[in-house]
Amino acid sequence: MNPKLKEKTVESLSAVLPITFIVLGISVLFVPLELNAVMLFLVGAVLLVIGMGFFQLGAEMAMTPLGEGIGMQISRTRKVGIILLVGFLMGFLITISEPDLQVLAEQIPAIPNSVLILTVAVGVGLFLVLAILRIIFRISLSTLLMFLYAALLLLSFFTPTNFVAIAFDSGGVTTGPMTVPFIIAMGVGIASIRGDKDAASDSFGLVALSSVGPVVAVLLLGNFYAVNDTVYETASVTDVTTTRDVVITFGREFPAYIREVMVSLLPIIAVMALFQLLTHRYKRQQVRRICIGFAYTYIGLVLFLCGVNVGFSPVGTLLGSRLAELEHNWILIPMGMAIGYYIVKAEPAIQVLNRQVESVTSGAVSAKSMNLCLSVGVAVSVGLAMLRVLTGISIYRIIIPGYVIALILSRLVPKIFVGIAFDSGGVASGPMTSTFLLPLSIGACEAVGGNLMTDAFGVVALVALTPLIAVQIMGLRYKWKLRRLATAVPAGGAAAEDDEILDLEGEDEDDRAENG
Amino acid sequence: MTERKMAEMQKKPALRLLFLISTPKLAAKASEQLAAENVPMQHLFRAHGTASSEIMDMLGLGSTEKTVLMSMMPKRYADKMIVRLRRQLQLGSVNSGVAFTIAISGCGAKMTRLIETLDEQDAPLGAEPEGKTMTENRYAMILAIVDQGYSEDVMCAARGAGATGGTVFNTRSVSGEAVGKFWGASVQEVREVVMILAEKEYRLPIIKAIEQQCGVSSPAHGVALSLPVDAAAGLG
Repeated sequence: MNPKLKEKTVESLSAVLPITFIVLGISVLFVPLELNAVMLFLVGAVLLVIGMGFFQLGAEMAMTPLGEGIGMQISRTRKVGIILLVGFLMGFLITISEPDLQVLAEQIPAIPNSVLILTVAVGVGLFLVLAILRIIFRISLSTLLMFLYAALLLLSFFTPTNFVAIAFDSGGVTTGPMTVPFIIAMGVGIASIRGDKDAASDSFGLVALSSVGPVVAVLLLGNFYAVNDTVYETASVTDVTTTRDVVITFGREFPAYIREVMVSLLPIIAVMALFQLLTHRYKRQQVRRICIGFAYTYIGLVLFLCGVNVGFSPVGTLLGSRLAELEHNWILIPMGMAIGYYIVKAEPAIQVLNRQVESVTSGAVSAKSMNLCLSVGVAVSVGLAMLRVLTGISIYRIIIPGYVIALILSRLVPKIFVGIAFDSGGVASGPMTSTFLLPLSIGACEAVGGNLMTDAFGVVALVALTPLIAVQIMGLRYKWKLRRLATAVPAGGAAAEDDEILDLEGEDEDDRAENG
Repeated sequence: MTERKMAEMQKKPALRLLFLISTPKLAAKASEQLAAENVPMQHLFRAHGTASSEIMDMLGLGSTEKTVLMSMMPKRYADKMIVRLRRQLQLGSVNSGVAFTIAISGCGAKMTRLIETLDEQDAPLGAEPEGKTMTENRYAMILAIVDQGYSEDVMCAARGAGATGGTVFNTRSVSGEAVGKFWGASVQEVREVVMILAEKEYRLPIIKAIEQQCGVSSPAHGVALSLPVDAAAGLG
């Protein structure tokens, strides 16, 4: 088997299978599900595996080289104006094309869709510019984040309470599978041609700042529009009885995703064409490769989004409500944690982030350790979200201490971990979170009769929060380990002859005779 | 000058720089083993293998991730290590990797002494079959350094002259042509380095082919050179 094909197959199977088995296990052990839901779920899982494989390969072939190329090219110009303009335009365009944002817009009927989408896109564009300015003027990421989150919190006090949870969710939601590979690659590209010691750590942090943009935008809009309610259509299991019904159910939804993903990809393809025309950066073979990469990305996203929306989403709602209806409904918390632990691996953008982290750090921060951190982090956050659903504690009581801890940690850990951690927050909360975890908590919330607006929403914000802490704790451990190693090596103090440099040319005769 | 030092100066220790280019998994395995045997210095960096055909490359199935492991060790130890790596990682089979050593011609005394201790703990290595490193001086390591995006062209040229495969990694050029300073950070061109392990007699034709297609005066601004390889495993 072709090694690359094998690598991708293994990767996507190991991303999707664990969550599939966990959900099936829960449905057998605790809350029996009807076969029709399970059937849709299984077909969805198959689509997810195939879609994930195509998406990973496509992102690697098209999005990453394009993002890196644009990043390198603009920092080579050394003209701040161009860098900022391109930064803003890219942030704006790529956000408009993010499929998750459309979903978010639908959920807030009080604000016209186009107003919301444009405001969020401008928000992302401006914050991307801020992120680039930060790199140029060498402002520490942790200082800037402290300032921004403080401002964010202040702003949220002036916003209707019902609206705060969904505003914080929007930050995680907008940095989805389109945005993340591209923005991360752009950051790596901008940093890659620099020779100073901060270059590696400055590779990350763009996504982190970009996901602050949408929160600000939505909070501001919340003040201008009388937002009292959101509409959330919980996906219900359609009545399927035969195998043909299953195919028909998916087939009915398919065209919508074919269109939606096409709309998302077109702006990026246009950017690619324009970029190539202006710079002639890529040669023919590379252009062909990137085009095929875009085709893979397209196929991958269509299959993935279709699978997760039709197959996973209804099961999420069902599972949530059934678990909450149980006599011992505290079981929601451990079950949610188990689901959270395995679901993050199935986020398509996570593997892209992990690969970039591995390559920028030359493997010092391995994909494996990133996966573990994110899994633990998301497990905790889903646990907390379920606790919120059951008890109705305010989101502030988790988010404020959470960000305080994350920001304090950002002062202590090596710089590069700050960027990686805050990036991973936005990355961890992707389509899997909004189509499975959100329905899960909405389902549970409806079953216990809680307030949807304040208790169920906010799960995305929590998923975006805990990785910050988990990854930085890894950074702290890394720092301690290095310190231990440093003390383990006997300190200098050697004899003068140690400083001598030996000429080893024309090596020892003995050795030569022996082996020659 | 003390007597001991005189004696030391007379006996020049033979040191080697061992390279292992392999899949990340196998390289990690080898690295763990080296660490277990207290090899004092080893460095890893990431690279990727070159595609074997244009079609596979276009389909995105061509290049594979590789890890390059670099470590200093005494020659005798290195020779045994190469034999061992070949056996344990099954170098030479499809998608495993190559290992080779290059002679070190100068080193600090402190490091040399530290490395030489490896020869003393010969015991676990002693049992290895000897005489299998007869490939000495049969190979050469060709390095081609080109502008970004030209590594495929390099491989294309090299293949025509007898090379079988190569490994690519990125570097930054710090030569005079550097783009310059930007807000205090120096900005440099990214360049690609292609490493090709080939039979010694092919080295000049390969260099020639690369220079012809991707030489200094071409848009690739390439440089190609070869280094003598002492022992190697995993090729042919």
